[in-house]
Amino acid sequence: MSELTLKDVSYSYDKKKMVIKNMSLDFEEGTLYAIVGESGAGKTTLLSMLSGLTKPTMGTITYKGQNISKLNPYSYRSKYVGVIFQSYNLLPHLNAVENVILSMDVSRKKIPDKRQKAQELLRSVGLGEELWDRRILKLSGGEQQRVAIARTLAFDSDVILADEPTGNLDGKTQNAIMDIFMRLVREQNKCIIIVTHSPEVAQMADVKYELSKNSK
Amino acid sequence: MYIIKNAYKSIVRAKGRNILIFILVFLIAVSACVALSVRGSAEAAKETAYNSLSITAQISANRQGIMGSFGSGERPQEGEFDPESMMGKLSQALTLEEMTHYAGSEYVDGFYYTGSIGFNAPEDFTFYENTSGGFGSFGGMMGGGMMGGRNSADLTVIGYSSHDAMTTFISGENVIYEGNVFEQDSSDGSCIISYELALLNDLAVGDSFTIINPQKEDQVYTVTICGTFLNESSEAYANTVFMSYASLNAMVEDTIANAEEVENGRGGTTSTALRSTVSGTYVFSNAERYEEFLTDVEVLGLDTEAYAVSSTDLNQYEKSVVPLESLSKFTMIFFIVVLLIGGGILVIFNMFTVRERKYEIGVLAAIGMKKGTVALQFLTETFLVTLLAVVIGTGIGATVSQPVGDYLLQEQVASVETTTTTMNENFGGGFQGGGFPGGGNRFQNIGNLSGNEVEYLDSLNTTTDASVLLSLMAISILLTLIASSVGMISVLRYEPLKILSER
Repeated sequence: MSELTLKDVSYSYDKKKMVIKNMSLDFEEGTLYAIVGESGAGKTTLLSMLSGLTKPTMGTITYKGQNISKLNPYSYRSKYVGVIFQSYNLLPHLNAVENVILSMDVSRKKIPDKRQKAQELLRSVGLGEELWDRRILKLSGGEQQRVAIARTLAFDSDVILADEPTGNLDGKTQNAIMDIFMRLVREQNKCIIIVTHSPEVAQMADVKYELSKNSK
Repeated sequence: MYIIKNAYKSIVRAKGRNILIFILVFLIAVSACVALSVRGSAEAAKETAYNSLSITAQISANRQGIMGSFGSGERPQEGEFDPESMMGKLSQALTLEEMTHYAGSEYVDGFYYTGSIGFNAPEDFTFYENTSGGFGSFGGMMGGGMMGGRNSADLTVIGYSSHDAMTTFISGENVIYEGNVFEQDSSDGSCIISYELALLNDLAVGDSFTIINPQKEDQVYTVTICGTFLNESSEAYANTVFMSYASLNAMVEDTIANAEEVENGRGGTTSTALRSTVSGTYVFSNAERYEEFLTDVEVLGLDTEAYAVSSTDLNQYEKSVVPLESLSKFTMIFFIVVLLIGGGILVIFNMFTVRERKYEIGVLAAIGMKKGTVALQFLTETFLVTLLAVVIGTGIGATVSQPVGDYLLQEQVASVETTTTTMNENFGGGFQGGGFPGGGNRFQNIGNLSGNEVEYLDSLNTTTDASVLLSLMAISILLTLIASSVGMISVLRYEPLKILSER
């Protein structure tokens, strides 16, 4: 079943130059997607539209059949679609665990022991225990990336949108993260859409879409 | 719940920003607490003084009304202005019967009156002659003023309807030196005289002496001394005989009964009957009853164009609370200025704070927190810091409000006293202002400076009561809302993706 569907979606910043033009795609549950393409091809814009942060200039995007422009964008992002940002977007005054817990709080989902779950998630993304209570700004880029991934996994959304989720990670951690994604897809039937420049990551995806400037 | 938790984390992890807000609100809270406490206490002190005021009032000629009816600002035409008529109206007085009639008002709690008449004394009677040396130098007066004779002058005989009427004794101005005061209902001629007069005429308690109708020399009355009094501050009563009104009235009635018409030397005749000048005093248990009497007396038939009810007690009260009123106004203005300036600084500070936290707003919105919730969290942060600052500020404000209130009140009293002293000096010590129509509030407030000395209310029991606490709580909420309002609007305007992409 389609989780997200794009129908004739176009997007332009200034109504002259189309970044995305008449795009129609289906993203289904239990599938890992990779969006690849050169810089400026509209990969991040596509992800922004899928997350509800940007509205398409034309066309519609539906989540399980519902037009997402009709949904409350905040509830949509806090409950159904998790976003892993390229620049992490973590709160600097909170530590790693607190950033993950905040995501659970915002989703308002009933989670019995949020701290324990946050720690489990951080462990699963390979963040050492000694870093859990450290402020975000005292973590390296790779460590922050792991926290950002854990934060997105925290509220158990149906769809995960990831913008270069392994961009700052070493090869070993990259594989570990991809293992987590694969497990989520296989075991929990999630729909994961990854924007990446990495051929290895793209290779692991079930479906690969390539965007190019020429295709618009 | 997580909003409060997040707000708390944000407060403790962004100490610099919140300490600045705390200090600012703390200063506002201390100032506001002191201002409200002092103002509340000043108002309470005024009210207490007003409620506990025992008021006495008189009905006398309405000078303003009479003057006003004669002079309306335009030059009177010939024949319009009658000085004799005006003087007659100005000197008119109610009769005892009329005074007693108005005393029947349900708002009058007591009524007494005094009568006074000038009598002559026998040839060999020695009067006390006023000296400039005053009563303090008793030995000097023995050799000077006290021995001086006085041939044609009078003894002033004052009769009291009640001991309550003897205000100079009640106030302690006159003090019984030997013997006792007369019975208030006695009509046997018992009297008290000054110690000086007794000394000059070799009189003692139990002795009698005679007083003479000045209109008829063979009409002689014998009075008996039941006591002598001392007055260490004034010589005004040295030649005065005090007795009950009944005793005085018995003599008056006798002069009326035995009156004769005698030539007055101006071609006419005059009756030898004496008539006392009667002054009535109405007593009210509080100021409210006095205010009610002002209306009721008209209902009872008083011509308020010709007569006016006045109370020196109320005037005294109004003068005595001038420093309190000034203090109350000052603290209120101070309070408003502090709130305006403090609130303004808080608003500006919050505007900068929100700009500084744009990224945080963007992240929270990007992970799905509603803008309203983000705004609520910021509001909660400001409120928690404000509340803490107000609680501590109130505690310290309550502690310092007493000494600050005392200091400010002393300053106000000193200021008013300086003004009155200067004014009095400008008038050579004889300023009588306050009664002229259109004379201005300043003069009316200062009143009769050469008359009764004003005892200012110069102490405050400054307390930070429930009303002050409630006001401060309301202020903390108000400050939070004012300070956060601009920030809240900014939060609602921000677009998360724009913020994050700008970063």
